[in-house]
Amino acid sequence: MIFADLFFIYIFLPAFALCTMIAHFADARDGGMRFQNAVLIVFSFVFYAWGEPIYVFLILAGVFVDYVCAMTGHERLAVAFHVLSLVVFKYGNLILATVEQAGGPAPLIDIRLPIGISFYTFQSVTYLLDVRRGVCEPQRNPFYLFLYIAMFPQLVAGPIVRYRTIERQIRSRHIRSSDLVYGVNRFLTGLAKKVLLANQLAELTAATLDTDPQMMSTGMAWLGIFAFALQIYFDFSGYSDMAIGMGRCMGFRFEENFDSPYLCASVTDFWRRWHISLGTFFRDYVYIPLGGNRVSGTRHIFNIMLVWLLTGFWHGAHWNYLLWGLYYGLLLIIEKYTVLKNAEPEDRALPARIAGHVASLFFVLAGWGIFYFEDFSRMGYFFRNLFFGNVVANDTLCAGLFRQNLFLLIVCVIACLPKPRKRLFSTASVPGIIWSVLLLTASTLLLIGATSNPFLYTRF
Amino acid sequence: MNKRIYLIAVLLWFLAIEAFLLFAKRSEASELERRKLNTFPELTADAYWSGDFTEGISNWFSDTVPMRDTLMEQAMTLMGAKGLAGGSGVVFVGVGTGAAPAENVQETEPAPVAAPSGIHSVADVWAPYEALVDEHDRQIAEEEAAKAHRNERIEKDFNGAVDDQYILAKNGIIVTGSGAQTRAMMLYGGNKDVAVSYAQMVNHYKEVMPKVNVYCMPIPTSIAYYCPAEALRYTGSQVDRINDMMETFSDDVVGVDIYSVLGEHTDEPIYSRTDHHWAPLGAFYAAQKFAEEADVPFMELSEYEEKHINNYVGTMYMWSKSQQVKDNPETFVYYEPTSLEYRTTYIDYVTQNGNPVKEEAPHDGHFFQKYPDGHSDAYCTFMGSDERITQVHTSTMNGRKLLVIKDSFGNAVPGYLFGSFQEVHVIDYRYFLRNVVEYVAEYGITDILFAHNVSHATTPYIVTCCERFLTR
Repeated sequence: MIFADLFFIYIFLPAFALCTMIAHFADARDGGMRFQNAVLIVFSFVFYAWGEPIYVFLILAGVFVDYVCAMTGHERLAVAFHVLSLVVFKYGNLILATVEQAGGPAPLIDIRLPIGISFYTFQSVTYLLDVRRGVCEPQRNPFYLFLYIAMFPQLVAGPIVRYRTIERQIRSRHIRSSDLVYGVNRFLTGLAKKVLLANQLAELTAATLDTDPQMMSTGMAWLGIFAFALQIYFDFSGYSDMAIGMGRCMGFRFEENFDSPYLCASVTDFWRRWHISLGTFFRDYVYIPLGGNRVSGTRHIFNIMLVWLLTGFWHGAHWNYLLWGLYYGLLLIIEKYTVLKNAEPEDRALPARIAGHVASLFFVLAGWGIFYFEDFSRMGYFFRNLFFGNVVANDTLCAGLFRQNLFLLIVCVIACLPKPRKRLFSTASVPGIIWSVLLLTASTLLLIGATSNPFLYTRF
Repeated sequence: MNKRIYLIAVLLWFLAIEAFLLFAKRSEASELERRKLNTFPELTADAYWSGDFTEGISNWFSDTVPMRDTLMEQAMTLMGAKGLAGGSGVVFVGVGTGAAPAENVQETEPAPVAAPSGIHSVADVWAPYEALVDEHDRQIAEEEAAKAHRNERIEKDFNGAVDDQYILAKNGIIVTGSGAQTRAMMLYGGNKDVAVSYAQMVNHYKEVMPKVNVYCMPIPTSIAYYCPAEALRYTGSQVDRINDMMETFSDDVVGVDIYSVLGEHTDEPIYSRTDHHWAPLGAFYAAQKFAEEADVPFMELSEYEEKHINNYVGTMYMWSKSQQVKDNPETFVYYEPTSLEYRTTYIDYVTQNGNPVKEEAPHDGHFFQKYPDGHSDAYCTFMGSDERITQVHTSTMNGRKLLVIKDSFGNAVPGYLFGSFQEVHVIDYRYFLRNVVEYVAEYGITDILFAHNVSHATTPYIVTCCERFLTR
């Protein structure tokens, strides 16, 4: 089940809200959260089983292993279990295909990727390592552990929530009307980002980047990668908004996952603003344990490259993601040892900051080119078209596509800017109400008949 | 204002939509998309554990929304606001993407694009680009093979209407002109190998049934005549593919070349502007050419009664989502014979998921269906559906009995042949469960006409289907 789906919005969510409301009154007698958590556990189970009936056993097995190992002090064993399951279920096909290409036996099986495995596996790992480090106590209630791992708002595409940040909220949380207002508003914003912006951008991306490489002009290549950069941002940040919004309505406060990434002053800055929960995961659980930057220069470079190799590969079981990770590793090393050696971007003069911003966006866009094309030959054609010509004098198709999507692109660029300090439409105003009603109505309209529009990041 | 008012207002609106979605009558068919909508999935153990059952429920709920067509029109209007209108220029929809404008087709995966051999590693990407160019021909061939495979796989899964949508989606759509000159067309992309396979399949019919006259009339689509210069690079040559077929037909198969015939009438309404089909007038000129080749009598247009369906907007509106197409309807003009007596018998197919599973009992009906002004199914005037066998017994007692093996383009042809043949039988290549040799023997068929549009005629699936009719 995905969030941007009529069944989820108009059947699953209302049913969940109704049951939670009843549970809320039941809990009011003793001031606990037992019934509300039970409802959340049941609905999370249904949510995952809806799309992955078989793999629900995998997630249950993972929770069982986490529970037993954390209670008995064998956290490393559980981490190994999760790494192994990730290797088998996420990278199994790639390994088998590589073996076949190398002349080995042809693979006999096709392993289907369990939705969200990359996210819930990492949540398990943060829990296990935090318990091992003594940052938090092992959860004695296995149902609560399941709740942490498989809570449906952030189950399939993050953000990667740390156990220690919601440990207390699992046991005790208060839902104020302001939380509901914020949560509903955030959910609708995310829904609109996905349905009104990302899904429309997806058509433009396909019309430009999926075209015959021989037909793709330089203009098409730039238009396409620009559209994809916007699409993936609104797709993923839309999902995060919906997750954070739903979490808030339940009394959970998930940390932010995006901070206007396309306003970055450097590539390093981009990764501080993009998929923050993943970046901090690798920082805290890989980079720093390796020694971070408090090691020799060579070792530091090795640490960075390893972290970015893993970051790239985390995104998908194709070699282009590995290349994408290495590309960023290289860029970050160059930045650290050159332009950022003496000063952070914000400390520099305005022209230098602008130059840094433009250069960062250029490298980020080029990076999306590596990210988008899983096929290396198509990627090669794309970069040739992007940088070295195939300029069509009368590029009717590119001009037509740009013209047909002009307002969409303008709105998307504006929506990439940070939120103004004073909200344009306060939720406590008539325009704010009308705005939310319009977002809900327009999103619902565009979801009619849309049988499949999965979030990009659910496939990772 | 108290923030609770926000919560109450949004919640009330949400509940209003919820009540509408839950309690209003659910849609069962889409006139706009010309298809039956999803049905509630059947619960089986396999369906559940594969996830098909739960996914089917989600799809059913989304697909059968009350007042679906009306709401989708509003959605299309909304989507039209994402940019500037086409004006008098050319608007491209899904050109070269392999992505479908129709939702059901969106579910299918894009065709895998094979990498040239030797390009497997990161380092290879940075090899001189010339190396990639050297591989180009090979890659194109592999891509064509992948596309052909995709054609076969996808078209198997969908009914006739979606099949047409797929053809449209595969190559894209262009919208040209303005006002009453607005014309939406599907771009064409078929290759020589499949065109030759199609012609060989027709030859095979003649080999298996040597006593039967076999004709083949590939029907060009509108882009062959009305493509503006700036879009020529995005569409393939239909005349080349027709020539490939004509060169491949054996001596005893008659190729009915209507390309030049229609070309002489392009200033007349021989193609629909808002639908992917041709217009009945185009079919008339084609039928005239066929009758000439078959050496049978042929009734002039003056012997028909001209009928109109006004404000007709066909499939291209839904598939292009172009407001310009919607705002410029046309008149569907068809011709009904008045000086002939004929009886039409239908044998309908029971279908499951768009595939025929069994025949129903024969029943008589009207060959020409009646549709009111503004109805988007005007092209279904001829026989009403593809999912049936049609048998027309005419008062033309010349002993000639014709079997038309067709796609939806071919539907417009038989109505002009009642004065030419004693019996006219019509079957659709997507809906036929019998052995065609036995059918020909059973009804004493003397002539077979293949009438498919060139887009369909250059897909492998049609070759597979028609070959299967000979042996099943």
